[in-house]
Amino acid sequence: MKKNITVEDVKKIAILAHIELTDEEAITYAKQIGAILTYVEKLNEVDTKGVEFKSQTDLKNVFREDIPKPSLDQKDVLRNRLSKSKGGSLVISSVL
Amino acid sequence: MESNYELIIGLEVHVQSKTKSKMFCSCDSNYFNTPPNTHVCPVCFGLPGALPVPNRRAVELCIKTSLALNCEISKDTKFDRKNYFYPDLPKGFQISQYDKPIGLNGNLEIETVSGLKRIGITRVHQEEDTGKSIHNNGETFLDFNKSGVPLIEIVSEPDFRTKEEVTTYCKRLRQIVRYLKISNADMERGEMRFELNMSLRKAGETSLPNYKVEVKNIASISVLEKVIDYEIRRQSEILDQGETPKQETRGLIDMTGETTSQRSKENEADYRYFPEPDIPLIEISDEMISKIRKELVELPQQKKERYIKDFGIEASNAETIISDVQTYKEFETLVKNTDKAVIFEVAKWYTGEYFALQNNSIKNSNFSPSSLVELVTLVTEKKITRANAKDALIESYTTGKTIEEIIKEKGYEVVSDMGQIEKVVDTIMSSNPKAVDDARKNPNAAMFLVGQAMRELKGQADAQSVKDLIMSKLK
Repeated sequence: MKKNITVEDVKKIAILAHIELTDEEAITYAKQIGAILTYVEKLNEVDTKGVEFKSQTDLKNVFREDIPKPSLDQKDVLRNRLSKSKGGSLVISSVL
Repeated sequence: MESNYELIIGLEVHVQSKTKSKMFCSCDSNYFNTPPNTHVCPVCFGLPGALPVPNRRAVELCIKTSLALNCEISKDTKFDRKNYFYPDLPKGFQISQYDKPIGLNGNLEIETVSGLKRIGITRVHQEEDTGKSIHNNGETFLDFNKSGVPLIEIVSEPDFRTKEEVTTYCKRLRQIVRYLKISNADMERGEMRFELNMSLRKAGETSLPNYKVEVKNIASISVLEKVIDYEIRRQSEILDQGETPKQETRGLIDMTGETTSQRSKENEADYRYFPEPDIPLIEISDEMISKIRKELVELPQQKKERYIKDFGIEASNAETIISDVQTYKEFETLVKNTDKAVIFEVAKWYTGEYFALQNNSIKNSNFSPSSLVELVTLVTEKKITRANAKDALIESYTTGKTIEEIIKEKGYEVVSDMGQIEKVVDTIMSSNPKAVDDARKNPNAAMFLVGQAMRELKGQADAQSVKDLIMSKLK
């Protein structure tokens, strides 16, 4: 398994996350994320041979019936977000 | 281009399910014409602690779609997270299905110029819609009422070879989801959307090309057709120069079908799919499947074939009738107690004269569509001429008078008294000796006499009987 993360990997992740990084930041994060991955790598030492895929719970088929219920108040929705709003819409600078 | 290259197309079709609430929360899913951000909750936004719970009906509708498209149903299924960042997706991921879609390996048969063709359906899976973004004047306006509305994705195999096949498939698919009340599939409301995967190969080649161009967010069948035309031109120009078009995702510039390269294209690995940890696995039981199977109804293609086979309805008439749920239901009610032999004729009048009336005239509220069957029956029994029947239909449609009243008023009753017809024919023949002579030499000239006799009978006789009588007298 890959233990180290390259600066290129970090830059790729940054593009996917729409985050701008300076070269220095990319180097710093490559080190930090690499350290985290190496730490988590310890999990690979566990022998999982013969262990079947399992969900996080033994529950199955948890459904809701198709009945609408009231949503949040528009005021609360708008207050809850970081961006500004106009006419009920949340407004951000153009993504086009 | 058709001579040099062959078209290879696969389609992804998104259909919004007709549920009352959203896919993973209880917000009202009817977002059309609602004030922005009034149908949203912590689940829609993926706020900390929010717990998505699947809508049972939505899952059932996805199974129903899969069954209608002859898919195998995954008995063990689950939801997965598809991670990407865009303002209309505040969670940072879309809940979708990755490796265990609800439906697999199905097909849909469509009509082509060379007969029925089976289009493979790779998969049918359940996911959720995103919010709506409107870009205006340097700003993007976000409304999340649409986010979380159940969306069914139907992915085809790259089986389409012509634009017409694509169009037929999309129309049939739309009819199917409407027949089954899965979706209204109203494209103007964005309830049915398309993604095109397209490439070209040299005629005669059998392997798939080594590139594929994807065009997303196509909102209607007509735009889809234009995109195909545009891409045929663009890709064949590149191939003509001995080059290979770039494998990429292209976006629509406007409704003309022109596309442009999109800078960032995420590959499948970039979406970092993983099982949705907040939703337990789903086991689809045989009971659930058989319960949903009972909700299936006769589908458009089957219906069309039955109309043709059982009633002798002409293919084009049958296609018109089955194209729309309301239309076929009205037609079937209309001919419910009608003699089988008359039904094909009713279909002709229904899709011809009756549709024309509906488009061009104002219906009187007293008009009953059953008048159509009454009229067609009279025409078939030769009790009224075709031309008079058309007039009677218009009259009945616009005034609400019954067919019986109209026939009586206008004297449309066909003269079936052969004695009376013979009298008229004799008179005409004796007063037109030259025409009789001509007709003896050339039977085609007898039509003049038929015309004269019909005029004398004010058109209220069966022209064929008049003609037969004259022909026999000419011998």
